[in-house]
Amino acid sequence: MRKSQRFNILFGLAMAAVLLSGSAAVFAGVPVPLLPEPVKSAVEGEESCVLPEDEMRRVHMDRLKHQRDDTMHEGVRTSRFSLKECISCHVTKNDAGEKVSVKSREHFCNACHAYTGVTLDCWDCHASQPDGGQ
Amino acid sequence: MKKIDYLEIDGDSRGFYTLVGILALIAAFGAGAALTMEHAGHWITGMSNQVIWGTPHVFAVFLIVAASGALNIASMGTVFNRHIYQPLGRLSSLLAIALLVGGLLVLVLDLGRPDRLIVAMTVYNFKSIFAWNVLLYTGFIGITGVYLWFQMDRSMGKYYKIAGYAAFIWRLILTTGTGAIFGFIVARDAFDSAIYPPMFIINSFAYGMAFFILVLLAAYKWTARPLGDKLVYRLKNLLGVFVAAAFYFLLVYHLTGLYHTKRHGIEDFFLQSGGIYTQLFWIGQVLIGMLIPMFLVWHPTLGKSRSMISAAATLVIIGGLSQMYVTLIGGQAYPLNVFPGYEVVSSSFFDGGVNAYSPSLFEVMLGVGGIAVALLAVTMGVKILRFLPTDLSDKAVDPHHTKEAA
Amino acid sequence: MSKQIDSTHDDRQVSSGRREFIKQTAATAGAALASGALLYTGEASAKPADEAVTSAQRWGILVDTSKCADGCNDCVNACASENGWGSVEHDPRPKTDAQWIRSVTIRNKQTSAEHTLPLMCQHCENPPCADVCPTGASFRREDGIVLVDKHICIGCRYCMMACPYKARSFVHETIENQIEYAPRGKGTVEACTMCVHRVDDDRNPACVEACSHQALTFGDLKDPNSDIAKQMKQHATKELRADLGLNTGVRYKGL
Repeated sequence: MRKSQRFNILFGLAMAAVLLSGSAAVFAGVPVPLLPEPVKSAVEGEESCVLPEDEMRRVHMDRLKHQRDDTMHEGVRTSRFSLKECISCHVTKNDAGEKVSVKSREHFCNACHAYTGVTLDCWDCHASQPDGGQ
Repeated sequence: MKKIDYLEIDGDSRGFYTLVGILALIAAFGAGAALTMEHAGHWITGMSNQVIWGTPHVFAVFLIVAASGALNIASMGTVFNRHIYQPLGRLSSLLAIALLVGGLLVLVLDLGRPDRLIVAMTVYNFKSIFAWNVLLYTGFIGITGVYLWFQMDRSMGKYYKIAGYAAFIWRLILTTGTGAIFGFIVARDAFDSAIYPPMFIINSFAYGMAFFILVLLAAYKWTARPLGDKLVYRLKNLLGVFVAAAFYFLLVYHLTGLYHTKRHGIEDFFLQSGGIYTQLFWIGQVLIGMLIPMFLVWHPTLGKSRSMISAAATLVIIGGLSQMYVTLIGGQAYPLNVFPGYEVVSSSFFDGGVNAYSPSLFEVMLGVGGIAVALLAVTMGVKILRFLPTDLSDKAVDPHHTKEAA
Repeated sequence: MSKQIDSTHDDRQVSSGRREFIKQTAATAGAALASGALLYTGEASAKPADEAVTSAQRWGILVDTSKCADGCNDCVNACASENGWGSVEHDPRPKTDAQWIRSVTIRNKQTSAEHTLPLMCQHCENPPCADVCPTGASFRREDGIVLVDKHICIGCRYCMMACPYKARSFVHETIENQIEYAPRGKGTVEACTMCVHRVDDDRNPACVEACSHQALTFGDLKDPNSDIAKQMKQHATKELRADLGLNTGVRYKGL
């Protein structure tokens, strides 16, 4: 019993150390990614082309998923929340002027998701750059 | 009848650690194979767009079928009131859960997207027997777990019967579901038959009993606990009966096929012209898996030898794997008949020809890894909890033993 | 927000007007075509982008095997380049590489009559693939197109076991540089989509468009004025494995 208690305490301490060092690294300043600006500007008369930025940050995944099911199963093909539209509007180019794929940290989606540590499997199937990167 | 005492095995011998080590190593190889296939994609396996389910499915379906059969020993004690089997109920339930987990692991790790297991468990199409099986398999683990608990916890003794009945009915439905995976495939000549569910149930009796006999004999030999002939002979006779019943179903399946003109092609493939599948059918499934085991267990002198009984059980398992290979892979190797009345002159997608398949090492490693995981779980289980009776001698298990002897 | 609603509302008006127009044109054209010659009459879905497809339509393809030429692979090539299969970076691995459509030559066992035809997903009304799919990833759209929702496909391949036409392929390896409108990925199952992205955009599937022998007709089986419906009313056509009662959307003439 006593042995296992000691083990538990040690284990807890080790976990705490790992967590602290991890968050310390965050606070020590991994730079917040600079999101590439969209190619198209906002729709006339609206503040933004899809949704206001802060809202978009919170709900883009829900909107994308909703649109995904509508398009897949019902053939609804509006562009507002379509992944293809995100990709073609927020396309990023590298210094050589080539469109970057999601493998690059400069890619619009990856810039944020790499920072927040969220792994996506969209790109297992979907193209991550418009027109095959041409 | 003496009160049965259950006790953990000591599990501190060199033999025990060797066994655990070997099983863990095989399981680790299986895990490595799964990771490799997952990373590279299925093209490195023997599977293709023609033979869609390969060796992992042979092992997985075999283990799942055997799992439900392994529970039968417990059911005979609880549901059919055969008191002599009651001391074996705990081991029977443990083995059933372990084999099912082993089989499911193999099945899941061979998916194209095993990372989406959560999708399979949350999104259901209830017309699919696969979707039902997801529920049947997880339900089996839950119900058998509760049954096991009620067997081991005397304070829950009054619910023990109910749990036993529930587990028995559930396992019949489960194997029906497993057989129906093939029975419901309308497109392929080898499948598309209502005989599959009952045939799988009868096969499960044989495969499960074979696993149980091997585990029981090994456990009592290695722990030097007494195990009387009475119990062993009963189990081996049952094994013989189950194998005979499986033989009968096999006969009916093929006789029906030979009668139906439209099935002559597939029958010819299985029984005569199918190359490896024909050989595996006659030598693996029929001779090794059925005829020799029946001869061994019912032979007046050989049938009394424990090594011969072990051999018979091992042959039933080899025969079972052969059966799955013939059914599953042979059934896919035989070409689809997309154009009845026509023969295919040319196609870029292998239409009309027998589809080639040879298992890759990865697939075999994954499949064998599943068996290792199941046996490892049983080995650890009997060390940690009280599954095994300390005494299974004739005197301990049979109330009438002394009378009969006298 | 209000802007968006307004604009889609406009879309709808435009397209319903267009639908009327197309119907009239089709009717006129249909009346003019006594011989049933294959002219594209624009049997259009003309569906506004924000509306769901309905069962008012059922899309189908009619294959005229008497016109399909042996040795011609135009429909197969068009499908491959349209949807991005076949042009894989690795060496060809015929056993594991995907094939959404293939050219098959068959011979009648009694008469030795030979026919060449394209074989792809038959877009059944009662698709066995959708029946067996545990997650519902295989499904039939309201307008009859059978698809795989790769978002919820777990790669169990039961649909491939169940399909009587071997129409489906499992993606055996990692794919990169997919085409925008044709997502494909390792570990999931795929098949002919009847070029659903084109159909929703009022265009013919790539194979139909590419066929220079007029062997393929695409259209709405439920619209009696459509070219395909008229041809099928006039000539005997066949379902593959009709014995299974699947009511396929792809039919064959001349078999």
